[in-house]
Amino acid sequence: MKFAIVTGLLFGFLAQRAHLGDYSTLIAQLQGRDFTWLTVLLSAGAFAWIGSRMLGHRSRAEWNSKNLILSALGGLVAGAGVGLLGYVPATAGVAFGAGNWDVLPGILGMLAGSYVFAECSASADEFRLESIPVSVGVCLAGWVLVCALLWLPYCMLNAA
Amino acid sequence: MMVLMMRYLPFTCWALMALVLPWSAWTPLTVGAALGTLACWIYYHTRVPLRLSSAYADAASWLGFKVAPRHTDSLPAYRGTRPGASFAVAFLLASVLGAHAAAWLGSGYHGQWVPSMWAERFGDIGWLRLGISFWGGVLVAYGVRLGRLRPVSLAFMGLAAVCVIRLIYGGVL
Repeated sequence: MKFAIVTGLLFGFLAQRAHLGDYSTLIAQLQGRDFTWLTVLLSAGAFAWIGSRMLGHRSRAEWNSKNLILSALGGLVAGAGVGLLGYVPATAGVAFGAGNWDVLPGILGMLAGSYVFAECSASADEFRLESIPVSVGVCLAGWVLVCALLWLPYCMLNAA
Repeated sequence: MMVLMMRYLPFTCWALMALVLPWSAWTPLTVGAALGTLACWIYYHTRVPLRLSSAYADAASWLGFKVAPRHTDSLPAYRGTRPGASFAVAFLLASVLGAHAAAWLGSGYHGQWVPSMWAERFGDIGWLRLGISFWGGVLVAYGVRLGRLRPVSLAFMGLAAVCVIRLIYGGVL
């Protein structure tokens, strides 16, 4: 646990030095105006990749259709959430430490979302795809779901 | 002594650099290199790639076991797990303190409920920002658990995030 605390302190310190916990940094990156996030990610990815190879870590990508469809759906839902929240899970703590208190309901939301997923995980494990048309149908259904999930915030923002 | 050095060498190096390097030298490239090294250091000791999103799942399970233990134990995702402080939760809590220190030492402490960028676009309406933030958090956690942070999932995540930002603020797309 001491190791987690030391590394966590270091992570928070470093991440905030690059302003990764600031709302405007992520939004500007997604708008293509500021490439701080991309630079940090590419630099960290390069160093981590070299280091993990040296340490003998080998990851293997999974490519079966069930995983792909679920991953794509999950990515769409998570991306929509990142856009609304303005922070990613890894830097939510950093944002809170830097005084961006609007992330607090987001953290509570992430706790709620994790629990809701646990509630639904039994049905997700039973998910099976037998043919390509089914996959396409699921993709379309996913888009409809994402649009429906975004409708409420969109109406709220338009009303403001 | 050797073990201790190996265990805390990267920390000592980066702590020394943090003290010696001027503020302007901490470019995103330098920070990225430091974070990459940190990720390797964590992997070297734990042999498990760190996923911070699991901190929320661990904390949610802990809360679930406190509030509704019988129901939470019946969920397949939590069955047989022992709720408690995990590595990811401790790491996340410590990162709050680390960021707080960095903010006070010069990178800027905000102390605000509504980000200035949001306030410029929608006004200084607290409940709106907080409500959207909560809803965003629910979607993030659900999506990340569903996609399990695979490369495909990350690609779609970026795409969806850009679309939503376009919807909210406009911008390059």
